[in-house]
Amino acid sequence: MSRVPVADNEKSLQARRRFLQGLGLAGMASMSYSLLEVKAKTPASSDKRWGLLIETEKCSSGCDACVRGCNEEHGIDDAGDDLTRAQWIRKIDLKDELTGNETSLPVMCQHCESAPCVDVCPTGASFKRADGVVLVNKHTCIGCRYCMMACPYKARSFIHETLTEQKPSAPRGKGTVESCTLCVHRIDEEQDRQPACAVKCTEEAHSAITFGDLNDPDSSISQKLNTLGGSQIRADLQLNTGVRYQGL
Amino acid sequence: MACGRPKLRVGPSQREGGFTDSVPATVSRMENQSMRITALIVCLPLCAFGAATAQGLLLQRAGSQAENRPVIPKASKGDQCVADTEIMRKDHMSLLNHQRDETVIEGIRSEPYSLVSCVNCHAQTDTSGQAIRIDAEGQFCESCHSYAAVKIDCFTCHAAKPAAMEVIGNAEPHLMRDNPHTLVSYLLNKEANE
Repeated sequence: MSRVPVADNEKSLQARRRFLQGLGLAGMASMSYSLLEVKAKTPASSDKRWGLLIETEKCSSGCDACVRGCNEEHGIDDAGDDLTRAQWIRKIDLKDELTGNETSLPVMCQHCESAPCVDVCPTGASFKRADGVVLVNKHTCIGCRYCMMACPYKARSFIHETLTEQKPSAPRGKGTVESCTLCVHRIDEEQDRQPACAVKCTEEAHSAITFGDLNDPDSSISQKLNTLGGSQIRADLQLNTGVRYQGL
Repeated sequence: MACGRPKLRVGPSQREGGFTDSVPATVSRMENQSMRITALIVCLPLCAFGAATAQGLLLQRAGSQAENRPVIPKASKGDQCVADTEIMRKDHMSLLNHQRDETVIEGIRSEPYSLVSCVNCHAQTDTSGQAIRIDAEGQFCESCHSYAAVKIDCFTCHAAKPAAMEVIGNAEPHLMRDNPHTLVSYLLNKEANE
């Protein structure tokens, strides 16, 4: 059911991409700006599908390294009311009452292939990039928060207050919705660069988060998933998430 | 079908001598002439005075316009902008908008018209070396925008100051040279080019 709007959205995104490419080419042809010959970096490609693998047995309760890493990277203030402050990653502790087994895991935007937030957005601001990263285009977000209601993972936050001192690489502002971007500004910048949460987790010697290309069978994330498998949260929704968990 | 201009109908008063009929008979030709001369004597100095005043006002206005022109601070870094001044003055928003869509939607981050780059070169520092917001009064963006009465929305979300030096200092060293948004990369590249 949800695949039809996704296909439509893909088409509109492709059309937009073609239009933008056309604009770019026309611009290149008509303008003789001296600096337009700067190296053209390739756009995000559907050859890649970025994803995360979280190994819950390595993730300990009480550790919030990934959350801190994310907050530092994006200039998110972790003080304030839990009901209104921005949370791109949440640490969740689970306990099986029958067996007493405890699990701790971070939950962030799951970067779904068939993202409900993209389906419901009235302006097209909530969109999926060619490489599978689900983002909010804050230039077109009107702050209606439909996506927040549609997200089964409660992964999105709304900015209620005026912000100052934002990071140059992470523009954020009042009246828009935001969520984990898989650190696109980092992964676009350089090959093999990891999102801030994965870097921080490794720095604090847990290495519970692996980032990589799910389409590349030789990437470490694919290798790990291939040998030990990985589950999705709410797999019944058939959203084909880009974030997978082991040990759930 | 009635095409073309309708013919004018001539009214009875115009046909029979028109408006002269309405002039009272008591006003003689002589009196009429003397009134015209008086009117000329009164009007000529008035006209001359009016013209002089208008010219004065225009000159004064031109002077005040020159005085009110925005004082735009020079870029604190770099010798050359990403495009000629004329192009940047007229089209900076189109360039920024175009690249904005490419960056957000497609992930292309290597093109020159980035708002971060604008801030990096054009943001000033105060006497204690602290960066001043580029949209603060009298600063690069604000000075011209307030003159043109155009509101800037960019900096409600985007950083209005360059990244702090300590943040750059903590960045991974191999990225410092390549990241076009860091002062370190600018200095290293400038040195390499020289």
